[in-house]
Order: sequence, then structure tokens, then C-alpha cells
Amino acid sequence: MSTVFDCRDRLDLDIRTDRYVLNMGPQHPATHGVFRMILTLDGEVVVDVEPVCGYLHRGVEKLAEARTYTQVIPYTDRLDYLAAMLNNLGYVQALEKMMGVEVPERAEYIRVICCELNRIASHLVSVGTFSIEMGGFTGFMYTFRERERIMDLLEMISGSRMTVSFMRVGGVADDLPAEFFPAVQSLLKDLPAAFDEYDGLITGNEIFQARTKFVGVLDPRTAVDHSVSGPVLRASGVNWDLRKKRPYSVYDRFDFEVPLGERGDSFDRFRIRIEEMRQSARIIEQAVAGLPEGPVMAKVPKVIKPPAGEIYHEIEGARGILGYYLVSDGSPKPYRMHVRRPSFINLGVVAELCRGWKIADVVAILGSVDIVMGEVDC
Amino acid sequence: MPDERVAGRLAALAPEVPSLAVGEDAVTVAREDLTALMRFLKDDPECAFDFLTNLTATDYSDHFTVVYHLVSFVHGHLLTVKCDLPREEPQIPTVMDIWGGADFQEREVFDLLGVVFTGRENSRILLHEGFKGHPLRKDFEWAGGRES
Repeated sequence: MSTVFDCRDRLDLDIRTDRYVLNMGPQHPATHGVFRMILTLDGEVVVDVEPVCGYLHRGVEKLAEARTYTQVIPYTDRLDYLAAMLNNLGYVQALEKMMGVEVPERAEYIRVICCELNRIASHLVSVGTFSIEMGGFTGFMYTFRERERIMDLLEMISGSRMTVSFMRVGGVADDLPAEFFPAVQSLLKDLPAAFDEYDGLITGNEIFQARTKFVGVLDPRTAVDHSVSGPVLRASGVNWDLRKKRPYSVYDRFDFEVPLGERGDSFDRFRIRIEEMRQSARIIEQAVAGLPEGPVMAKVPKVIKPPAGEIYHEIEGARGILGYYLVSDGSPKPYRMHVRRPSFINLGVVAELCRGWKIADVVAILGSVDIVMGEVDC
Repeated sequence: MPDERVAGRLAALAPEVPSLAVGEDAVTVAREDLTALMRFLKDDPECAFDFLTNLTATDYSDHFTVVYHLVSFVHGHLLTVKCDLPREEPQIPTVMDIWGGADFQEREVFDLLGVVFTGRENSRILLHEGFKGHPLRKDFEWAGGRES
């Protein structure tokens, strides 16, 4: 790790200017939604950051208490709206665990295909917007080109681009349509070249590297202590991917790797997402090839009524560990629902990362942590 | 049931922490002993719960239950810790000095349920400062609920 680039030392210098407070957001293009940061600055150097969230708070957890279990599924779409399939999956799996529902194999494979497609789409947004934030508009156009094709696939599957509501307790809403298969094959054929293209356009860009390398280094110890998860955690070199560590659905049947970062800087956090997309593409390829025949829904009662009790279930979301905590009192509505949103918890480490860096670096750090406000505010 | 090794260590700890009860799904503890138990769970090499994955609470009308979901990255095991609080006086010591990740989650629980975490500053995180009440409490009156 280089110390040459570390401007944290400046905080200890004797030369100071008057400290002042600068407000960033809530309406700011680099805050990924409606999010505000109150920066305390010494000249250009950030002394402290106070994140202010909640502008998008809709009270999903409270709303869920007044809805039936099935009615909650569309609300989960609107948490991490860039990865709705994954939100769906975490929720229905928690219920299935509670009710002891056996999901048909074909449904499990379809779920994996959908989730990995959505993970790629979500990472493409992350990578593309990060490119814009670092001053390169081109990267954004290229990543959104592929993302649009995935959105088309999701629309084919579920009828909706983003708010899919595709998963059901016991399976998925519908079988994959016939036109899906040639479309996904052609996408899979083009993806590796597209990822190489992003690497050429963004990752290899000298200005981009200068802006992100060694900036906002998150050491593994701090990451674990702050409950950071997902690509941000793995960029710091901590090997923790629930698809491997605690395989759910049928993830144990696929051959894929968990990419890890070395330095835990903004560059690693960016890069790891491109590497993860390559792995997700591998999973989709295997899942499409091995898709078994059979039903896509288990036999479940019309009214979902889990036995009284509680469950906490976690999956690997696009931004980290996505957990659903459900308490049932035996009625058709959840007594309590809590969602462990990875963006919300990852946001907790941002202030720590920004201290000692310059204002422009705050954008690099926040962009590389990649939060989705729909999920943070819940 | 908790992992065998963890169960063994918890059994050894039991005399020091009288309120500790190891149940089928979760470990329960009184709030007086919470800090001691949590410290032990993190520092003991056999337990090594270095990752606080989830922290939340539920209002059961007559009491609150605060739930901690812990993971050990070293051993890979999981543990659920629960602590009941009287509804009149919902106070519990913070675990922020044990796991930094508790910071935002405790603030969220304070904001939405009104559970006060002692030993730290409690401030709202999602709702605005002037908001009255704590919406996830069962006696919170709100519009937008559906008639059952």
C-alpha cells in the first residue's frame, strides 16, 4: 500500500484554514438518488462527513404489516430497484424456509438465471455511473447498451423491466418464454467482449486510475467491523460470498469464482464488479444449459400463512448481504418484517473512508461503494 | 441449535452470566448481561463472532425484543441473540464499541421503534427530527393501513 497518495497526513499538519461546512445534496448527481452529505472541510480536505438519509423513506416495513405475504412481493422490488429479482428471491426464500416449501428444480434454475441477469444489469449501472462520476461519459453509454438488452430479457420474462415481481412463494410466476433462449444466447455470446471493452474504456483509462487508485482504502478489519458486505467487502480481500459460503437455491451446482480485490481502494471496488459480471455470465451459461424440465411452481396454498415463529434468511444481493427477518403470528400478514439492506449498512463506513480526502474524492468513494437510495431508505 | 463448539463455550460461560439461556433457535440474555455476553462472543477464539450481520427489534405489545444476528467469518457459524426489554423502559446498552456496524442499525431501531441505546447518542436516521412517535410500534396510529 502506498502512502505517497495518502493525504490523510494533512489533517495533522499545523497549517490550517478555517473549517467550514459544505452541503452536498440532497439533489446532487453523484449521490445516487436523494441523499445528502454534510461535509466539514479544511480547505479542500474533508475533516468529517455526516450522511443524511431518509428522503426516500416509505416505511416498507410498516406497510408490510398491513399487507398479505403475497402483496409484499411488489414492495420488495422497490427496495433495491436496480436488482429487483434478488430482492424478490430473498423474500420468498425466507417464507419458503418458514413454511418448508420444496421448490421445483426448474424454478430454482430460472431463479438463478433471473438473479444473475439482474446482478449483471445492476453492476452495469454501478460501473457506468461510476465512469460518469469520474468524468467519462462514454463508459456509461457502453454499459447501458448491454444493460438495455438485459432489461429486454427481464421484460420478456416478467412483463416489466425493473419492478419485476417475478418470484412467488414456491417458484416463479411463469415459465421462460420461447423467445428468451435465443436472446439470452446471443447476449451471452457478446458479453465477454463487452466486458473487455469496458476494461479498455474505463478500467485502463489513465485519468480514471489516477482518480480511483489508492483513494478511500478500506482495510479488511474495518470492513468486517462495520458489517460491510458484498463487492465492497470483497474488494478489501475478504472472501465472503454467500453463494459459496452458505449456498442457497442451486448455486452449489455451478462452477464460478469469487473475485477478490487486493488494496480495497475505490479502483478495486469498481474493478471487482466487472469481474463479478464475468462470473455471473458463467453461471447463467451453465444454468441455461442445464435447465431441467418440470413445473415452475410448487403446490402451495392460495393463502400464504406461515406457522407462528420467525426466520432470518440471507442471500447475496447485488450490493451485499440481503437479509429478511420475518415474524409470523400465524395470520396471513407478517407481524413484523425487517430487511437487512446492504446499501444502508455499507453506507455506515463512507464517513470513515472520506476523512482526509478531498471533495472530489468523496464522489469517487461514494460512487465506488455504490448505494441505492431506495434500499438505504427502505 | 447453535454450533456445537459455540454451545460448549456458552455452557462454560453460563455461571458468569446467570441470565443466559440457550434455546433451540436463539440465545436469550437479560440486558444487564448483554455487554458481557457480546464481548465474549466476539473475543472468544472458539466463537469469534466478528461480523454483526443484522440488528433489529420487534414490538410484541407487552415488551420489545431486540435481535442480533451474528456471523463468524473465521468459523462460518451463525448465532441469534435476543434480549427482551420492558415496554415502559425500552433501554439497552449499545454494542457499537464491539461492532462498528451496529451504529446505523441501532439508530434505525431507535428511530422506528423508540428503543434507546445507552452509552451512545441516539438520533433519528430515516425520519426527520421533528417526527412524533415511532412508526414500527404496534400502537402507532397511521393512515394507509388496510382494514382486515
